[in-house]
Amino acid sequence: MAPLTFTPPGYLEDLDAAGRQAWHQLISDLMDRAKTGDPTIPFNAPRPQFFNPAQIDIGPGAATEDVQWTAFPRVVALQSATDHQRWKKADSSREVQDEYCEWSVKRNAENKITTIVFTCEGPEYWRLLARHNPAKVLELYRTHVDPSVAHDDLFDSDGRYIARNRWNDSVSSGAMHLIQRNNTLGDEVEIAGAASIVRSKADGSLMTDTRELIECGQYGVIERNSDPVIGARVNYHARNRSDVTIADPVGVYFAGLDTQRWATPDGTDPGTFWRYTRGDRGRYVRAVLEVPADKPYVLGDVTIDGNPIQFGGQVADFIQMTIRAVAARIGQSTAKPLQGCVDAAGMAGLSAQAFARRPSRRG
Amino acid sequence: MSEDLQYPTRSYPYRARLDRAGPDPSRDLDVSFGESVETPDVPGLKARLVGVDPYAGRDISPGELERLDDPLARLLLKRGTFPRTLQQLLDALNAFNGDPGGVPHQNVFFISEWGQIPLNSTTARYPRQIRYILTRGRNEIGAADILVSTAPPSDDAGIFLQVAAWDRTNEVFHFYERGLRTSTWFWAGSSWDALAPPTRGKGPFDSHVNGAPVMKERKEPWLHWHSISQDIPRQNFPPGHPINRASEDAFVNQCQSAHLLQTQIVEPAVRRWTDARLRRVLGSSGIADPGALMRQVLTATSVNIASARQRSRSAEPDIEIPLTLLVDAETLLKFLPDAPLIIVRVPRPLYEQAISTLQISLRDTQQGFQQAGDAFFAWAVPERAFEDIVVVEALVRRGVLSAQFATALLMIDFTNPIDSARRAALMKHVPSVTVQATGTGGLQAKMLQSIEAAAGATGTNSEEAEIVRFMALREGDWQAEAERRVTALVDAVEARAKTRDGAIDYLRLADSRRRAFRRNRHLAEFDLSLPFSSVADGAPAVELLPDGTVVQRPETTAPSAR
Repeated sequence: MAPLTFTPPGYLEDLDAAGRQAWHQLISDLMDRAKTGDPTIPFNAPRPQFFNPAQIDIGPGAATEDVQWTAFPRVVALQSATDHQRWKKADSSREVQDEYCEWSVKRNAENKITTIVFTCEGPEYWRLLARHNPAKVLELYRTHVDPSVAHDDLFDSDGRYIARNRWNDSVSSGAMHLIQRNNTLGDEVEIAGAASIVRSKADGSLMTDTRELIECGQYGVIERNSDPVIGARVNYHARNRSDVTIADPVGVYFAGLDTQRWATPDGTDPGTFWRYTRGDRGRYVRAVLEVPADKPYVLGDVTIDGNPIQFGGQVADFIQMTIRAVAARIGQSTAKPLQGCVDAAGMAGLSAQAFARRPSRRG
Repeated sequence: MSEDLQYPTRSYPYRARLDRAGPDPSRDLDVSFGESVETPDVPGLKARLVGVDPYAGRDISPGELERLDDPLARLLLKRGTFPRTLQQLLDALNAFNGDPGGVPHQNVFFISEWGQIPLNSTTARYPRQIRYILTRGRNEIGAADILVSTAPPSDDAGIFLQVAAWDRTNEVFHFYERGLRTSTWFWAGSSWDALAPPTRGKGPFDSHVNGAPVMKERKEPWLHWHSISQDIPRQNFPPGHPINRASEDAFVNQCQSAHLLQTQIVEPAVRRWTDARLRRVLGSSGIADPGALMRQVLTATSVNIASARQRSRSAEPDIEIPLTLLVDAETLLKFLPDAPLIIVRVPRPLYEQAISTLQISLRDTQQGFQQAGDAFFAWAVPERAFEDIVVVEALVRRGVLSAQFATALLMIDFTNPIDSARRAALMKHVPSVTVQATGTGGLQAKMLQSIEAAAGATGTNSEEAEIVRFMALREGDWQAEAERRVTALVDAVEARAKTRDGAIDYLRLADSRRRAFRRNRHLAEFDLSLPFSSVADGAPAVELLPDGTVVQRPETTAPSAR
């Protein structure tokens, strides 16, 4: 198998040939950066087991793992006393939706939810699409967010795309793609690269603990659902002496929605209200949850464990997100474990959340 | 290694824990400790309801057989397929993957109390246990119709093989066990058999106390489970261990995080059975056995195990005590939506000092293993079981109990969220005859009548008087009162937790609950589930007071765990 050409996320077909080539190059560059790490930061590099599949063939016998985590932001859950509080908080701002899944909620005149839109499309794709085909960006916004979106809503006077435009920056006026600062493909790829370093402890045993790994490797945000488990699973394969990378098309995707605890007024399967509107072949990047217009009820009349759906966060509890890790040349790596941890102070741009304690009571 | 030694209660007859003190009148052993447990290898399906049937089982009746409509029965057992091993079971199910009634989607989860104990020259000589929980369902994401509990190696008929399978027609779980080293399968009863004598608390229902699947360590960080919080790496098992055989590669590679078992499988399963049960029990003809419902409100019919999110050995500066050590947070906070965030932190140096003072250790008494220190995640404690929480929630949602009345009951001795004799004593106010679910003749009304009468006779300090006062509060005020009392407790605990004596006290409290778990709960199958201390197993229990102090519990009959 020849080294591959990176496919747009979700097998999306928005880009022309030049755009697809640019996308390939963007992902390849991210992979190369994740491979290199930062050698100036002790124990951040080298990363001998991470590889760019556009440079190095995956080869035969590779295995994949769909790493999954819950879409509801764990940091919000840790800062809330009750379910109602955490749902409300998660719905208050896109800034707290940091599990690579963001959403926007539409309500009717009775304040009942009618539609929830979920997205996991990375901002990098949209910036690139905007450079290559701004008309396509406008078309997609009009299709998926609101027909009245205007060009000037999305682009500044210099023609630069505004990712946090009025149609994509709130929890009520629409969500086209991810905007939360930690929800980037670049971060995702870097986490995989950083976590690929097999580390040993002072006693010589291999580091295996999820939290120990992310603390030592200083990748991602410790208290999220996503980053620790992505890192832990990549590292697991690296410890099995595999070379590791992320499967093409690189991205975060919806693994599915579990509606078994839901009930509808008329007994309709609530799973039928969930449809993917962007993405293909199991790699879905946009989902809409709404009751068909011919029903005499709306989403806010559907219950979860007996509670009416009042927040998008209630639904996020039941969404699993996923990335696909690849383990190649299983058992063949001769890379030696690294003994030592990345110094937190030496990490430029370290998220303040990485070491944030939960607020004291009554936060 | 002896499989029986590893899993002494995983093959009926369940053995007496002769090394434990305390009466255990509910045990119904018909063989003595150490006797052979093998039966003739006759492929087939028999009935063996522990407490009723002999160890060898009996012929299953045509009526019983007809009522088995779960996938295990339908696809295998009633068609004459009697697998001896896990692999044979899975192969047999796979043959139906394309059928509408098939259960093609498989999930694998690992649990091991040894999973985080370092493998070194000292520990290498102890047999390390790891169990699989496999599920099979119709859909890729969501409900499982079959839950299998077993251990590696998957091709060994000497390994226990137990199944809980959901019967969609009859809305029950059926419990099965394959006989040791045989192709004989035993139907051990259905969910309804868990709820009443002579089968309540017997056989599978000694741990599936209320008839549904159980996940003891149900919540983050899922102590002992492979999960997003902790890996159970193969490297923690010796090279010759069954988990390291090539035959187990597929299961290892498929192993998923326990958070999926919690949220997609076990919790929905418990809710599913509870909903089905209450639909029948709360019918128009009234509640025939109100006690069976209210015991899940007023007592802890079972427990789960919670722990801190922090690891016992790490650089994290504080340990957050599990809130459910102090209050029945998960239940109460459902009725107090505006409750403040509660976090009680013990500084790590004080935590480590308390660990040392109480000589906390991990032990496997059967193997002679002991290791100083706490479990992998700190401060593991028994807490109110999800299966009880769901019943309380459902009774309120269905209007059988008001949120205020449920809160009034739970606030009695609220600082002792499980095993409260004072709360359990309120069972005397539960009607012993059929009663309507709701209305002026309903369960709550009848209980309140009884409580009010008792309050008049017992004085202002009684539990009944406390309930009457709480029920007189208006909407808004009762929530504020409950929040005030919980907040006052947590204020007190928070302050004491930052002191040496306070940290020791709260660890003593946890230890007391752990000892009660081991003494009173059949669910206490494995020593390594919870740490031990230097306190003798039979030492008096301690309890938490609303002022945050920990004192010896007054001598009363321990509330029944049944």
